[in-house]
Amino acid sequence: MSTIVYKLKPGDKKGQMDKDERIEKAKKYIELIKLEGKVIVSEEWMSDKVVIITED
Amino acid sequence: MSKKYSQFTVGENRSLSDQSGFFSLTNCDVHGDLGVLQNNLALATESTTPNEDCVSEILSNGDTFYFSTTSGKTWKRTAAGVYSLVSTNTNGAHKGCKLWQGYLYYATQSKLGRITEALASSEASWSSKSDSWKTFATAGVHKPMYTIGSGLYIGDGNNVYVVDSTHTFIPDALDLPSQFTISALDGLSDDLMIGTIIGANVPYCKMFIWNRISPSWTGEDKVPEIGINCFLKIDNMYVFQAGTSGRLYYWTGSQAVKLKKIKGVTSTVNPYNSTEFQGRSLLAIGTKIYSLYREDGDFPWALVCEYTHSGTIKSIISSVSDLFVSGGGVIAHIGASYATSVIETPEADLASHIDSNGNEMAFTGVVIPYRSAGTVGIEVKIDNGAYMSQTVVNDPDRKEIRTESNFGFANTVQARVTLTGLSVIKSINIV
Repeated sequence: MSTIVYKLKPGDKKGQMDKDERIEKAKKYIELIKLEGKVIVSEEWMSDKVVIITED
Repeated sequence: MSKKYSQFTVGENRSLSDQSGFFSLTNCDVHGDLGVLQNNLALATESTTPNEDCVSEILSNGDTFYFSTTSGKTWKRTAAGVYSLVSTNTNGAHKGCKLWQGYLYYATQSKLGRITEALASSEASWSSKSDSWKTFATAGVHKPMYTIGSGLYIGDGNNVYVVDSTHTFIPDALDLPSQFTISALDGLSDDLMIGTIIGANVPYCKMFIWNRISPSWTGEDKVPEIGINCFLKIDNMYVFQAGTSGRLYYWTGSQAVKLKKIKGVTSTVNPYNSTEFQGRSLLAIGTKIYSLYREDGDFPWALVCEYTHSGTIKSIISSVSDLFVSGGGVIAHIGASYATSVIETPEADLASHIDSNGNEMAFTGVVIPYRSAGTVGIEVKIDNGAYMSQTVVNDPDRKEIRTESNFGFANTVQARVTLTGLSVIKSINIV
């Protein structure tokens, strides 16, 4: 098992992702690792982060 | 009027006419015994495998691992100097490597791999490795890696990734504006220094400072260079090389300020081309390895070319007593023979020559007092002509080597001295 944490709290500087963009990018990242064959044991979405546990 | 050039610890000067320092110092040691200059030991090939350019990391037990930057191969060098191929990464060429919390991490364009430190050393072939442990979202060319505080920090495009102290992987822990690509990382006390590049045709970039907690960076400064290439390993200063003209900058705490320029540089610098060896900060550019160092706190920071490698250098790394250089398809280290040292004195320009003030003066010759002398060659350039080789005379009673013939009258005289075999000289006098 290993843990991936994707933080959803956005920065406040010009040019940084906002919260919606962070959520979107987190979803895309999860899709990316699924496509690579990683087995996701759990995926817990919280207000400030999403915690993904993979089988490896 | 004679001139005595003996301030070796000043290092290379800033321009041809700058009378402080030397126009060039190649393969020289000016810090080992203050007041004299001697040849450094030459780099010698230690192994022809790895036969590819590599970045490297040294483990706690002294084993060093070389990760090819042109293929997926990884070689081990034991502390005793025995090399072996331990792995071939199917994800392709490596972009970075770093030891962190008991694991040796290595990055390719799109994957982060790892193996435990213990098994990296003990396994003849890395059966327990995980080449695709985690995935990068951006398959970019730069994967700078740096450890500070409680994390291993990795640049991936415009994002900083973190592997924390429990080996939790955190993608996009910090995102920079999308035009920036992270090219180099280093530490500033507890903060992370983030060097960037926008593109090879964009004449500026930025340095970002991040406290590693906030979702935004905490400081930034625009740097008028095509990218930040490499941080120097230097105690109590934050120095980096940027652009393609050999400029070095230091970080004041809020801004990047020019520190030095290495003359004659026209190319970028590889990110693993710095190390600290026996207290001296070393930076490799092309085939040369320069030190930025001062032995005494009252001395100026001196740039000196200490070593020359046979090929273009990809990375350098040091152990307690040796320096290892990857480049040109070989690994070189400090050998047992002395390098040929070349020293060029400054040349004053014709209009403002401080000796003659525009009027010709008589110059008798070049005199080199020495402590010990191998073979010493002297060439002289008069009035901006070509260097002409001179017949030299060794006077062992006076312990000096001098040119035999009288120069006559001249506006400017520049000397180039070549030391072959161990020579320890005290000064170069133009009289």
